[in-house]
Amino acid sequence: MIKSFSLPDCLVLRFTGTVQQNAICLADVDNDGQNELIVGNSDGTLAVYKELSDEPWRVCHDLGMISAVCVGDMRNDGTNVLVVIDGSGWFYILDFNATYEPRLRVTKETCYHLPGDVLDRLSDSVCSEQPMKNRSMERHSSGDSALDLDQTECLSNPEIIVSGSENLPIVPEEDNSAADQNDLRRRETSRSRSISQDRSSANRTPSGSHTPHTGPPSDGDKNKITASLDSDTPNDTTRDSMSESDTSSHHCEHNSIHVWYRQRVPANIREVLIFDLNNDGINEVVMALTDRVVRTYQWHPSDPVNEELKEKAAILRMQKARKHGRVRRRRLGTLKPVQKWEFGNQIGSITRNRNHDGTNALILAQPGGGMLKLISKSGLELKEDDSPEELMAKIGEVNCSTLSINEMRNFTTSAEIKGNLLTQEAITGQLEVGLQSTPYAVVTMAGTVMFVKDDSVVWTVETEKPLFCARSLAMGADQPDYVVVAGWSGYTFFFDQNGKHLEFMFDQSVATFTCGPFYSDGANRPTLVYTTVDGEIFLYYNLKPLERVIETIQNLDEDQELQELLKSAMGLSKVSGPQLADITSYILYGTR
Amino acid sequence: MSESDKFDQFPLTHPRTVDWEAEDWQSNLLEQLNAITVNFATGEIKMEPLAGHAEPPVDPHEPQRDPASSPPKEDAAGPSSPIKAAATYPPPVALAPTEFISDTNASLREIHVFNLPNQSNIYGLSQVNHEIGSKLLVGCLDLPVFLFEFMCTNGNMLEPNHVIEPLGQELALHMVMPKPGCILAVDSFGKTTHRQAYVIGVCCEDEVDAMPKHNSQIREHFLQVYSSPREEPGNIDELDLATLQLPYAPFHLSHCSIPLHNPKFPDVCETLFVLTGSDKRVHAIVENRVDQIWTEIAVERYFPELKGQFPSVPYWVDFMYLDPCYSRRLTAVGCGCGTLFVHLMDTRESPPIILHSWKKVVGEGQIVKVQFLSSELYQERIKVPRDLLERVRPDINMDMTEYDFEKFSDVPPVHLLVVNSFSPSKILKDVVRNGVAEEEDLCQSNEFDLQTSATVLDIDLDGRLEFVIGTYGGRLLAYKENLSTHVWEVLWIRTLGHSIMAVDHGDMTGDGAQELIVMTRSYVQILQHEPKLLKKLRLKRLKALLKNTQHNVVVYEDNQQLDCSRS
Repeated sequence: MIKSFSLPDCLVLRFTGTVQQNAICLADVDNDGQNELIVGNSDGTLAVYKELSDEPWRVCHDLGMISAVCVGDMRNDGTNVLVVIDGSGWFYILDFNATYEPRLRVTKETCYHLPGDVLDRLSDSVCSEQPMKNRSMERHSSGDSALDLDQTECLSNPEIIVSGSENLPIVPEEDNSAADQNDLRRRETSRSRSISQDRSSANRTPSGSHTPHTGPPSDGDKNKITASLDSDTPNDTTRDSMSESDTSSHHCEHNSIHVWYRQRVPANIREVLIFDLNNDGINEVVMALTDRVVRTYQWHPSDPVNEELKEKAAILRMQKARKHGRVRRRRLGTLKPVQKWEFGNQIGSITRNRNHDGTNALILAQPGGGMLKLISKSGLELKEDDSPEELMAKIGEVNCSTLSINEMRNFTTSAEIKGNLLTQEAITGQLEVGLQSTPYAVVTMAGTVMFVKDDSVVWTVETEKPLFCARSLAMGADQPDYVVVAGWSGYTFFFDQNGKHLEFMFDQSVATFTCGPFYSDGANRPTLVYTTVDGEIFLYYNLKPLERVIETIQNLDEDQELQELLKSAMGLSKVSGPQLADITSYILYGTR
Repeated sequence: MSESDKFDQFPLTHPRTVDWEAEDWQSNLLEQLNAITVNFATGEIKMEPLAGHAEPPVDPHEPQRDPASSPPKEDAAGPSSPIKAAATYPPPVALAPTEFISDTNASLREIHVFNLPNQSNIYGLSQVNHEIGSKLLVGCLDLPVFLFEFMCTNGNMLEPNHVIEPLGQELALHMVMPKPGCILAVDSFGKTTHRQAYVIGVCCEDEVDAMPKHNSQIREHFLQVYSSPREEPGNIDELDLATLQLPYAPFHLSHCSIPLHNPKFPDVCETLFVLTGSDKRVHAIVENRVDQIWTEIAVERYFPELKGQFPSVPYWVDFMYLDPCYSRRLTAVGCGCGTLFVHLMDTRESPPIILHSWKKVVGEGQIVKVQFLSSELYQERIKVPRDLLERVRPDINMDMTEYDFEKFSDVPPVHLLVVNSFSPSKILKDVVRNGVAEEEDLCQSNEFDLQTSATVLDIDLDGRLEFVIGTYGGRLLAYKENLSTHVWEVLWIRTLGHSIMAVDHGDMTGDGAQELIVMTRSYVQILQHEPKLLKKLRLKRLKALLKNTQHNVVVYEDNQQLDCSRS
């Protein structure tokens, strides 16, 4: 049991704008094993803070009103990507993965994650000397027709989208499936590639060199590529002029990152999770909507066989599009809806949890602390060629967990939930099959904290403070999770899994709160993150539990030599506590 | 801190100013006590029952004063020695080779955090004595006083091998106010007779509906004094309460010992509360031991230097006696306007006589704390264990006639630390001889928001005093005097996440080593030196000490001067 916390280290970050509760998280976006802080505000600015720098490591602008962020292996390729959802229904994927960068045709200095072929084709067609338009303004003004982006936007933005009713995402080269094609395409388009390379190298000069701490980890690799391609670079003055216009825009910040993929999804998403809900081995994107709906989506990479045909079609379309000033890019994957559930009550929050049999489930907290559980039917094999109806039948049976205490709760108070808590038993590996379920905690805004295991309440604590958020926090690797709940006035409670709690008061009003491991001083350490209403983020990193017995120098048993000395030289056979303290005090402070 | 402007609404009815005959309560006190022994090392006084009344009281802590025999000194050359005055205050015997904790910032580690439900202020931290060590008394603004301590969990605190655990409790003080008000200041001291006979003073504020129709509220201020009923160790939960209404908003509540000038007991004092108020005055509050009533008395009776109105609210008052007989006192008052008053008093008479007075405007901001520090006096006042150890040090001169009241040649340098809120804090060097003339800025002290508090302690255990300043910007700054250049330099800067309201030090764990106590807006942090380091240092020094002691004993025995038959 933790007796108290030590909060000695605090980092204050300046981040203006309103941050939604789910628009902040601590996770590893760039797959280097080090957790970053990801925070997005309602003005569309997303910042990623790495280590203990008070400047953001990466920034992305104009993402709309960011309502949720989530990090996970959404593409099922073993790498994490950052998912950002904005209030108008855009689903963005931001890929910080260093392994993707060598495939990109443009170095990080320009920060355009454009696939090579598209850029190459563009290089012929797009007029280069047009001034940049304000991209965000255009999007907001055009509303639903935001898909109609003209060429100048294409230059500043990797997403190049053909107008149409269909949501056609623009994706760079697929890492695994299209790898062989990439080589082919590279050979074919070697001439134009060198042009684009020239553009990038020209661009680097005015934008300045990297500062070491913000530079991408794979800087050296990219430079190598640059060098090898520079040999047969013809001079193209038009590229230079274009690059200058690029540098003048805010998109060329040295630490900016751009959207890798985007797609329309429903507009009112409040929370996103990435995990395998239907237990088919593939991660889903689970979204909770504000209108009592939960949807799941799955990433479908494009079929490599069809890709060639599609590419040819795309080239044809591109030629047409050129005339209309629009281009379309080959897509290498898409997010497809899997399932949708509609509930009778508002959804407070959703969480992942584990069932007895080790399968995943989704638990929803509803007003008053009611809970619903979405579990997939186990034992049914899911097939690729299943129709949606068949899939529907096989997965996603909705079970209502029957909790007697549900009735006691006030149904006007919203509730938060946090599941998948790691228990001490799970750490020591003593669990047998059938006992592998994880507990979860439900927190109501009225201040009730419930700890539920195997669908029965283990303990309930009334904090009598309004609480708005439930998180979990482990004090280190192989440590059980604590339930951490926070209130707007700064109250923070740490509950261990036996219901003992510890209170911590953050001395300002809290807008959002999250906690988790964050990389600082060489390791991922437990960290508390508070966002205040004044646009500051307080990062209490290096949280240390003080649970050890308080050591004093009063212990004589461990100090045989001193005991001997007192006995022989001073004739003190038995020293009392005050006597020893007096002697110690005199020796330490009265002599020197 | 409450606003002083509210004070103007009060009808100016001062409390009854009691002007007792001093002999009344002083002799009363003396009668109560069989014998009073003073441990000057810690400034505490202990009562021990005396077998016979005929004998003058024997102080087991202090060497018995025998007018016939001069204090045992190696260099005792007789009364005609020209260096006699200097020899009165011999430098502390350097026993062990100078070895101390070189990296105190690294060795200081946090052992516990006591959370506070709401914030306190710069006057909200005090300590009460424990059987060994001390407990922490914290007055929060909105809730009652808290008592934080390290409790012994395996039986007896008096056994050396005890295990301690932190414990925080609300002090069950009976608030007489109709509504819970807020605590503005706390202070506590041990009664004259026993260190565990507590006296706790709590200044609080209460809003009273003066004219309900006009929806106007005025604030009433009280001083509540909780004291142990008798001159014996009391339970801290069972204290007598005396309430004193204050016609001014209280600021700094502190206490000062006043010598009773009894020829038999030259070093016996009575302690009284000293309270500064929004009326820009300093008030003295004393207990009538017969009635056990705490009443304000005219401050000039014991503190003529504090008489009258100051240019602004005195934010902090500090006192220091220069000798063990309480015959000379330094008084410093730091005001809100930055004006500093320093007085040197001759306290042999009652009322005392002002020997010197200095006044100076120090910095632009408020003076939030003043504190005297003298490494030499500090070393001397360390409590010497009543075992063989004490013979290593020459006896403290208790003969008042040997003191130099003209040139203060026997007084070691006493510096004054002046913490200013936003100007750089200053150290005034050797105030006894230089007055306030020689001042030195403490570099970097105003770089981290307002400075709120400071504490003077020997942080690296080298026998010299250092001090630690706490700032509202969440930094702790430790300063140490460079012994070659005599410049106070930054030893280290430590960053806390929270604004620091007060810093203090004390032996919270009861092991004889001092802990650093830092009170921030939301918690109290206890910082302890690495125990392994301290153990090593203790053993090393004890060995050196014993070696040295045996040598000294031989010398003493040769001179036939040492009387070690005090056991």
